[in-house]
Amino acid sequence: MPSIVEDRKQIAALSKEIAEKKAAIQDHLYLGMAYTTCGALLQNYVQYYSKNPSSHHATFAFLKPWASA
Amino acid sequence: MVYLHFQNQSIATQSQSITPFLEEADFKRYIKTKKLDHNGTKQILAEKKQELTKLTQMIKWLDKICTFLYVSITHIVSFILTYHLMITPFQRGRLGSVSLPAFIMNASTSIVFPVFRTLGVLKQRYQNAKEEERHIQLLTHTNTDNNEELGAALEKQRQHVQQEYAQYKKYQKTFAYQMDALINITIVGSCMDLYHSLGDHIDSRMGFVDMPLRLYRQIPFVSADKKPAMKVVRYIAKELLQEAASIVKFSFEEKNQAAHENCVDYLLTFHDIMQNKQLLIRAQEVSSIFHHLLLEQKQSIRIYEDLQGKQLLLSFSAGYAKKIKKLTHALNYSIEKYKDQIKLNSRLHDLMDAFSKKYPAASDTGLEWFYVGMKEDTQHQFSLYFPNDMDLSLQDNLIHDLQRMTDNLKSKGITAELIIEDRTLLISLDKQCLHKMTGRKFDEYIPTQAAAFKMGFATTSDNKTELNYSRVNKKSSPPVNAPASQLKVVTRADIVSFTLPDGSVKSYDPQKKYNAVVSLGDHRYALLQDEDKVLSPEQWTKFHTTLQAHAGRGLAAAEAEQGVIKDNRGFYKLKPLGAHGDERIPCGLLLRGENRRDMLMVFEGRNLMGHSALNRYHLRA
Repeated sequence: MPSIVEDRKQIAALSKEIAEKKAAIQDHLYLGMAYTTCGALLQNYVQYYSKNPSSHHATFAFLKPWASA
Repeated sequence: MVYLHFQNQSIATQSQSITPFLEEADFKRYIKTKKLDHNGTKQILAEKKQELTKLTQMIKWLDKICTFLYVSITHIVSFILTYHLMITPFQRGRLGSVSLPAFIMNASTSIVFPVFRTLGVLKQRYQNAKEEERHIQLLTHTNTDNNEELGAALEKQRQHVQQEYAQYKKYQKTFAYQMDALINITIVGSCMDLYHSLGDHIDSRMGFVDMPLRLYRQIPFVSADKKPAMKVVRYIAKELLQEAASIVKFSFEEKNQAAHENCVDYLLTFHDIMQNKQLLIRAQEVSSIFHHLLLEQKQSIRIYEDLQGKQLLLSFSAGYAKKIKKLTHALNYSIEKYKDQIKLNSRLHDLMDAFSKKYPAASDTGLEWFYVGMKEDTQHQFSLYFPNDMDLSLQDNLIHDLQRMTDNLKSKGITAELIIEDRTLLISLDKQCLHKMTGRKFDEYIPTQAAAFKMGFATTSDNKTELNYSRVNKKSSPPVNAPASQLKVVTRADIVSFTLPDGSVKSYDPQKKYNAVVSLGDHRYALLQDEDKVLSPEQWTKFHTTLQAHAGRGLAAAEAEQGVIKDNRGFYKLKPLGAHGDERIPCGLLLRGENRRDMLMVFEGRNLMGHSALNRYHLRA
């Protein structure tokens, strides 16, 4: 049977691991936010070109509405 | 995070050995309970484990979501970038100075580079680990004091090296797949580029612009751990080949010689590329793509028909012979394999064989067969063109032989006819098919350079051509069983009366110039005679013979029309004289005014020939 000291050591290790996991979750959330931003950009892109099918000559023209806003 | 709590000094002192291991919450709980015995510790441990499981699960889900978002977004971004880089220029109909492979390579580089960099990093890591291992190994040799410790470290390092190596290899494999895919895509890109290089010659009706976009959507962007390329590339290759085949057919129909040559080049280049990359589409697949195969063997051209009963003339001029030979060589396997299945009309085959044997030099003289038979299996029609410089005695012999063969076929119960028109022999194995043969199909499947040799009812001042007609005109000894309706010769007095625009009916006077309406029984046709054109009596005879031969076949009385159209080819077109038939297919008459000796007469009409095909008769006078 493990002693109380062993348990406490295990607790400490688990605590450390939990802290790492929490940090990883935070990273994932940041990443998710970045992807969501990209998604929004893409959505804007698609909307822009569906409304302006003739403006294919300017690849980044879809950013203009945002820039002006 | 380990938490040290010093607010309550006594407790902190009391639990000095415990607190460094506790977080704040645990410590508070400890203060609250005032005891942290073994059970309490166990409870905390269990809670920690539970929390860790929860977090692990959460991370797993977040990982999945993030991966999904990443893959989706990168794919969409890649597609958009590719669309702008490669597809849009095509849609605009120009590529600029940059070829499609260059485009693809640029795009590929942007995809490959990060992968390549990662691969380099992994390799470096693996090499570093290996170096470290070597270092430890060296230590174990030099330092004998703590061998045990070094041995453990060495073992650990070896495991680390193995891990690094496995990771590096795994990524390398992925990278190989990706490169393979990119290379293949580039190949397809090259083919597309070739394909597009034909764009200048082919009408946009062929859907050039749509094709790459449509196909490109089939190309998966490089994805890890999968083999995306081969199957898709093969599929695209097949699609491209199909497109090319349709262009070949199209170029025939449009009589676009340049386009046709380019198409053949394209096909061959495409074939080479595919073969080099061992992506050759199997011969039977090609066979199924080309429903209609033509083989050039023993200086004769053989036409095979497939089991579907569809026919397509693949007739190539001498200039194509080598190219086609190369192409057909690639298809030989298919032909041989499916030899039994290919339904070749043996009688026709025999006929052509016999013909080739008897006249081995026929192809040298430019003698060409054109297969024009369509529709049902029982209907076959062949046209044999006599070149200008062909020996007359040889022509005579040919005609007699063919006549004999035709008779032979007749004796076997096959409806067969042999018709001589101008310098062209028409062999129809089905009477019904005769009309079809003289219709549009004949025109559309004959390459441009052969257009001047089409069937006709008139003749030039060329003696050789005159010979044919003179033979026909000798009613006493007709060389062939020509249909009277087409080859009947009538006298001038029988035929020509015409109505002038003022309504008066005149008889033909070859010395006069006319802009008139020709009356033929109940039917009237507008006729424009070019001012400097004086038709010979023979020409008038032939003209009228043709008219008469085809008049009254359901064509309603035609109303005279004053308007005369001169098209951009210099043809005068008098149409359609109010025929009650389908107005989209007018009856008409074309006179070619460029050359005094040339007269091109075109009848276009749904009802003119009693069948739905667009009929077109060319008269070369």
